[in-house]
Amino acid sequence: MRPRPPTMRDKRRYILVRITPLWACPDTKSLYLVVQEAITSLWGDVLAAGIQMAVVYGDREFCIIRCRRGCEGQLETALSTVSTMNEQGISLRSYAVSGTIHALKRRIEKCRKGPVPDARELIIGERIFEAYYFPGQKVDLLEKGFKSRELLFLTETDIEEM
Amino acid sequence: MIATDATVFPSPLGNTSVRRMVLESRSLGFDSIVAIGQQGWEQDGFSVIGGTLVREPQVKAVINAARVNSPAKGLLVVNAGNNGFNRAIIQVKGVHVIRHLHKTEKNSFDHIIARMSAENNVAIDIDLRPLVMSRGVWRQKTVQRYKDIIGLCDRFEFPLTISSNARSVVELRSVREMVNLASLVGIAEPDAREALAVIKSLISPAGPVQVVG
Repeated sequence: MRPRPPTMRDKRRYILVRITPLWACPDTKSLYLVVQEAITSLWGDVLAAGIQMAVVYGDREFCIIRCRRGCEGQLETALSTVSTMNEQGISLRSYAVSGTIHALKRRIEKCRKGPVPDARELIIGERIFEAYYFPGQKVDLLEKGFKSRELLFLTETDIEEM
Repeated sequence: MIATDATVFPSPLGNTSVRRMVLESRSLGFDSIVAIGQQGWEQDGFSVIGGTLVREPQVKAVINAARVNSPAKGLLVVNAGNNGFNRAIIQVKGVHVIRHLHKTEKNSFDHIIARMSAENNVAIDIDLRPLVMSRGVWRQKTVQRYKDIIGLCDRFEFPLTISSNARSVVELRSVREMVNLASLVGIAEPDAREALAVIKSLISPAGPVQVVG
C-alpha cells in the first residue's frame, strides 16, 4: 500500500515525558500499556481511540509519546494519573510538547543532567540499602531484600544526620 | 505565594524526607508546601508551612487542636465528617481547611455549610489523590462529588485549596499537572491557580484597614 502524501496525513504532536524515579528503567512496552490504561480509564474507549497514543522513544530517563494534534492536553492529563507500573510507584511528568521527534531529542540532550548513576551499597543500622546519588543532593534508597523492600527518598543532609 | 501544595506527608508519615519534598516541589513549580506533622521553616524563598491534621470525627478533638495550634505553628486541617460535625467545626476559630469531603455522605456539605465556610474563611480542600490513584466507579463518584462542591463554590465563593496529598516523591504533581487534574472536576485554569495560592490568605487573613500615625 502506498503511504499517504504528507498533506493527507493526520497531524501529530509529540510529548517529552520524564520518568521518575530514574532507576525504574521501564521498557517501552510496559510504558505503552500503562499509559493506554490511564487514557482508557480516564477518557473512555472512544476518546482513547481518537488520541492515537504511541510510545515512539524511551530511555532510562525520558520517553517520547505521540498523539494526534489537539489531543495533547488530554494525554497530559491522563499521564498525570499514572501512579504505578509493575507494582512500583512511578510518575510520568510531561516536560515539553513539539511537532517533531527531532526537536524533543535535542531537548533531551539539554535537559539531561548526566548519566543515571549506578547503585552504591549503604548500611544504615542493620539494614542494607542500594543508594542512588543524583545531582542536587538527592538520594534514593532501596532496601535490599526479597520480602519488604523499603523505599526512601532523602537528601545527602538527611543521610549525614542519620 | 504563587503556588502551594496544600497537603503533603513527609516522613515519618510518608517515605520522603521534608528536605527532599522541598527540592522536588521547587522543581515542580511550587514555592511552598503544607507539610503535615512538621514545623514551619523557610529556605531560599521556599516556605514549608507546618500543618496539623485532625482525623478524629469529634468536635472536642478539633477544639483542642485549634487551641494548641497557634498561627505561627501553621495550618489546621480537619477531615470532614457528617453534616452536623462539619457545621460545628466550621465555626471553630482556628480551623483553616476541611478535607476529604468526597469520603463523606452526599448531604454532609450543603448550601448552608458552604455559606458558613465563606463567612468564616474556611477552605475546602480538593484532594487530587483519588483522581490519580483510583479507577472506575470510585473515581467517578469522587469527580461527581467535587463537581457538586465546585457548583456551591461558584455560588458562595468560599476558598478552595488543591492538594496532591503526596506521601512520596512519585506522588507529587507539578503545578501544571494539578491545573490539568483540577480541570477534570470543573475548575477552570484561573480558578485553579487562585486555589493554589489561597493558603497565604488563610494563615494571615486580611484585616480591616488601620490608620497609622
